[in-house]
Amino acid sequence: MNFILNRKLRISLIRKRESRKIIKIITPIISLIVAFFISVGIFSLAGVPPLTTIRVVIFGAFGSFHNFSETIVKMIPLLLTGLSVTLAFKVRFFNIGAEGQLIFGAITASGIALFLPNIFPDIPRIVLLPILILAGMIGGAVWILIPVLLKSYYRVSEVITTIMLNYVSILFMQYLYDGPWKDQHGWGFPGSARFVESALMPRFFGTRIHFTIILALGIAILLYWLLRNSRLGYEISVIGLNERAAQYAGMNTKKKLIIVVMLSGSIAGLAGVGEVSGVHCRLFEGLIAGYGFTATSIAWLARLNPLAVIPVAFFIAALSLGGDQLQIQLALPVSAVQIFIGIILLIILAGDFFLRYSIKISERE
Amino acid sequence: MLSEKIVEFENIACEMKGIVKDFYGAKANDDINFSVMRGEIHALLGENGAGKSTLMKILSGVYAADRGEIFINGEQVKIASPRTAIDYGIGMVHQHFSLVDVLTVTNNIILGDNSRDAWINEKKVINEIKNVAEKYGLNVNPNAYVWQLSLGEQQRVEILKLLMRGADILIFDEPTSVLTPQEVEGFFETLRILSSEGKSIIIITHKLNEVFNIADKVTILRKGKKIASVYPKDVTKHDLAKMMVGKEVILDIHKPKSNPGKPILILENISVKNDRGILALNNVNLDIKSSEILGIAGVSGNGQTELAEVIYGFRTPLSGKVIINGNEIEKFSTHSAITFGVSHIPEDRIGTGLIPQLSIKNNLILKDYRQKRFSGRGTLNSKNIYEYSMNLINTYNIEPSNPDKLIMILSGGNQQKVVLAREMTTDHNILIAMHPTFGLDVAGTEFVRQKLIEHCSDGGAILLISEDLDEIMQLSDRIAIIYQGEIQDIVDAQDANIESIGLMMAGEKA
Amino acid sequence: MTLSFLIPLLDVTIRAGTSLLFAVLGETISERAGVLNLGIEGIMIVGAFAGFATAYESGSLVLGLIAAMIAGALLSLIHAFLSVTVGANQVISGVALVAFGTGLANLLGRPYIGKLGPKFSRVAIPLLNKIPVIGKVLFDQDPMIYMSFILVIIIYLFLYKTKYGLQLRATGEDPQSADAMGVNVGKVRYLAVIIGGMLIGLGGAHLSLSYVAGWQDSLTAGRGWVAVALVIFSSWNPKRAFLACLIFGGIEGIQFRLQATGIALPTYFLRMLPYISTILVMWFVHLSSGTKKKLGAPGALNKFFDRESQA
Ligand SMILES: Nc1ncnc2c1ncn2[C@@H]1O[C@H](COP(=O)(O)OP(=O)(O)O)[C@@H](O)[C@H]1O
Ligand SMILES: [Mg+2]
Repeated sequence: MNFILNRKLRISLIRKRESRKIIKIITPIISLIVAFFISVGIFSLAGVPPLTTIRVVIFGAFGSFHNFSETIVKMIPLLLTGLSVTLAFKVRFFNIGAEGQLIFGAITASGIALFLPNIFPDIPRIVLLPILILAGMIGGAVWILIPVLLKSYYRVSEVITTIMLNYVSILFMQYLYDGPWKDQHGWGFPGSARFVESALMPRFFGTRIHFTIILALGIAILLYWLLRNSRLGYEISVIGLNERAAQYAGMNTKKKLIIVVMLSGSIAGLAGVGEVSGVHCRLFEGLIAGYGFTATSIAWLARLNPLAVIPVAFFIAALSLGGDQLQIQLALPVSAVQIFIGIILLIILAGDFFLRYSIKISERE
Repeated sequence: MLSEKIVEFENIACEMKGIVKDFYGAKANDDINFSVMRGEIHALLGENGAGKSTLMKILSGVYAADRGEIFINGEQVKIASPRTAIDYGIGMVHQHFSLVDVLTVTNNIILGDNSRDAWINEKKVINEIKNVAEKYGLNVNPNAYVWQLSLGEQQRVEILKLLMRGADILIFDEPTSVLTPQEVEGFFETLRILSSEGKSIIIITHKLNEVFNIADKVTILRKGKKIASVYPKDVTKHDLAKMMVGKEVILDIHKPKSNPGKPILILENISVKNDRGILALNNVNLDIKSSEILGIAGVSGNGQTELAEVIYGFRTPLSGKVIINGNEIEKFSTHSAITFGVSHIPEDRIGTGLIPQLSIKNNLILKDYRQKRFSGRGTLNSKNIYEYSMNLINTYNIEPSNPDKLIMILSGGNQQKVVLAREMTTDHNILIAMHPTFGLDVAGTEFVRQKLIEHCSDGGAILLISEDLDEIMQLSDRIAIIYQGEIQDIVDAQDANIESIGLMMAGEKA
Repeated sequence: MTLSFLIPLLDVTIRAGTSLLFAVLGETISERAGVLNLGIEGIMIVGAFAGFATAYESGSLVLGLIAAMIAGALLSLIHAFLSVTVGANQVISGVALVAFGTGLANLLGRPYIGKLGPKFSRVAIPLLNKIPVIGKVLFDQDPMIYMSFILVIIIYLFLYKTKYGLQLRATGEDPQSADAMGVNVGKVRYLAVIIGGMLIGLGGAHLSLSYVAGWQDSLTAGRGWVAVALVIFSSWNPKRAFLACLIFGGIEGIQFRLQATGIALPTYFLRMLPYISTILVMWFVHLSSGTKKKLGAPGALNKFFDRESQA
């Protein structure tokens, strides 16, 4: 492609096969900054002065030790769902339903937390918590089973089915805490009864930062190792890059896809466990936070690298927390943060342009 | 003097000057000058990768040249897209046809002709098609869907398309590769009629015989550079070959007589459907012995792909048996084919045989990665993988010799060496080689053929599927001719004759 | 079933199906050109907001519709740029549009929640509306509904009977070939995505200016995603799109009717109906027709076209 700038200069776009590492790192960072300022501009259209937005967001996320700890709390589900989506994307399974798996994992865990202590009143935390975690992970895996089976056996698009199941899981959760699991003393509070103490995650430093953070960081490192150095990781990369070649290599691509995607669902399910058992202490409306889209943008920003998901999730958590502050202090709707998520993704995608082309300005002969 | 010059000027239909085109830093065309006269049949000769298609794609607007000028009828023009090329009367039949499969012939013709009315009048177009088809002997059914047509028929549709929009300069990219020897004659006849009407014809080829059969003039390209433009009557085949390859070449590879042993692969009454649900193989019976190369001759699309797919487990047959070393394959999957010892050089290197975004070493272990030495206890053993790769890179002269380089940046020849190295090294009983030299230059072709012959001499059994009849004749011990999914005949390569094989490829039983 | 039950049900069916129909038609045009626009949900909601806010402020329904189309076109333009020019991942781009559009509409829509604005009222078509049952259901509706009927016919004729429709289909099927035949693939794709986006925007406007007639948070409630599924269900064919939308309008209608009758089933489960039906429908479509080709998906759907790239 050539554009003639004026008589003397011409700009040519030169296609590249590989781009330099530095560009790969810089593009997302620049994208984030650009996206931030565009969002601020949009908020100012809605009547919030730009400086107020920036001040509220930054103070909300880092203004005090408490705020900072809350950023970490917010980061935990984002990190886990981001990892979940990353893993699924590696096998080209566009799981937009992390929210649904998170909620379903939260539901199964809550079921255990609410009812198992009724049967075994003295069940200690050390026994109950692992059961909760396992239940939540299974819940997340089961919830993604329908889309992955439909995809591998009938080629049904997972994008639509995972999103539809987000809506279904939200309605199902609302039914539960509005009906059978209703908090008898809740005065219409949108959530279930509070869990017993032994069903709650340990917390650190007198903050709400809970044990799940350790699991999440561990999973990030494990996934990084798995994708690079294991046989399964090799298979994942082959299947994700070229399914036909994977079949040619004798891989059972269906089976592998199902396993990997269920792993992905279970990681999102774990995020749900963390939220109910570590943060809210109950099944709670607050689980509905658009994780599906947020996780997608985190995974994409991190370029599907599990380690990179950690800082990206932290950054998005800071913004979301700042966004919460906007919502509280300036009465903006919850979904306002989605504007930012959307813009980041759009800018990142536009930034890919620079990974594929380099721009050369040359003198015309 | 003056008058002479004017005459010559008027006769040049198209001229390209100083054409340069760079792909990722490699020059596919390097300062090429090329011109073609009105009414001339001009052959563009060169090895695979010489830059022939690139040059013609520039002329027809598919690629934009980095530098250079183009003149049509003496006037400088800027060809920015296929649309502009079409408006200048340039039409190209690409090697992969530019027809929309799911549309009918008539709709494809309408699509290719922008001057038509917005409201489609099919009846009118069908009549026009019939008239033009009759005039040039290009018989096709206007109501057929393109996917229903053989490649030969599709080529006729392509020519009709060009003629009906009034193209004056017709370019054909390796047109004979989809035709039987007899069909080639008919095709050349059409070209002669067209040129006698004053149309200019450019025919891209790497086959020397064709140059002498049809061309008024020939331009030779090598490694992106123009070597010469000459009249075929002034040169010998040997001269052309030398110009094309750049050194003396022995055009024949010698295959020593082999002593086939016991049958390794037996196919019994195999029938199979293709993706469209149509019978692609009908009751095929074949056997391949150790130390034997069995060649499958046929025009592409007659069941060769499905044949390879059945043996390799990509496709389950409707009926029949596949027996390897006396054991019948029960479950058709690639995994079981690999356990039975089937190696496979697939027809599309990049789509099936390799993963371009992965490194050479990760492609070399594609079949064997499960073995303990490469992934004991589920963990990749990078040291063993590296050593194994280095070893193969050296044995097969793979360039670059760094196992961490991505397949993407390798030349076609080196990519094929990676496939070859992997498929020949992995434990196997039988090797299916499908179009093993497609797209390779002479050196690459020679290398691959030599390896296949060595493999056979070492006792290997090879099923060779190729559209290149010369290759089949050169390498095979026996030749099976396939037409519409049926084996017409199996002949000994020694007493095979190209004429009769060509007839059988067109469906006429000998 | 009595007529007094049936007629309102069919009436809701048509009215609920209309916004879907606009969206499905818009997406069909886009996908037929080879661009998968998953941003429908976001485009629709922005269209709904723009339509309502404009109509509310100006008092003009026509201006509302124009605003909805402009909003749809602008959002789709982003998607067109990313998928046609940049060659970005179309799935991710669509998801981004949904996040962005939903957030934007909810943010800007704050002040309009609960406000009463102008709305389309029913206009009976003389004579035709006297036909028993059908007349009431089909010919005593608002003008946007008539518009959607006409659009089905126009788009059908355009796609299958005109040269430009042929070019559009060829572009979505095999852009390499279309390009070699002189079709301007980039232009066709841009136009298809933008015009498709306008229709999707209109679908949103039908919600805020007729069916729901007002603004509320997350007004579209997943209808955009249902529309994506219905495009597949209707095999990328505008005539079948009409039927598909009727079925889904009907599901919504049944949901309301059941809710109104006070049936014991908790409303949460009733509200799951459209989502679960969507999954079932997708499964059914694929179940009944094995391979992708037979489904009728455009061959180059979701594939980037770059003239100079190999294969
Ligand atoms: N679209 C493309 N992108 C990158 N490289 C290309 C492209 N087309 C051709 N090439 C490279 O340019 C060279 C010449 O190719 P081509 O013109 O197809 O040769 P020929 O037609 O003579 O066999 C080859 O090395 C080929 O790999
Ligand atoms: Mg070529």
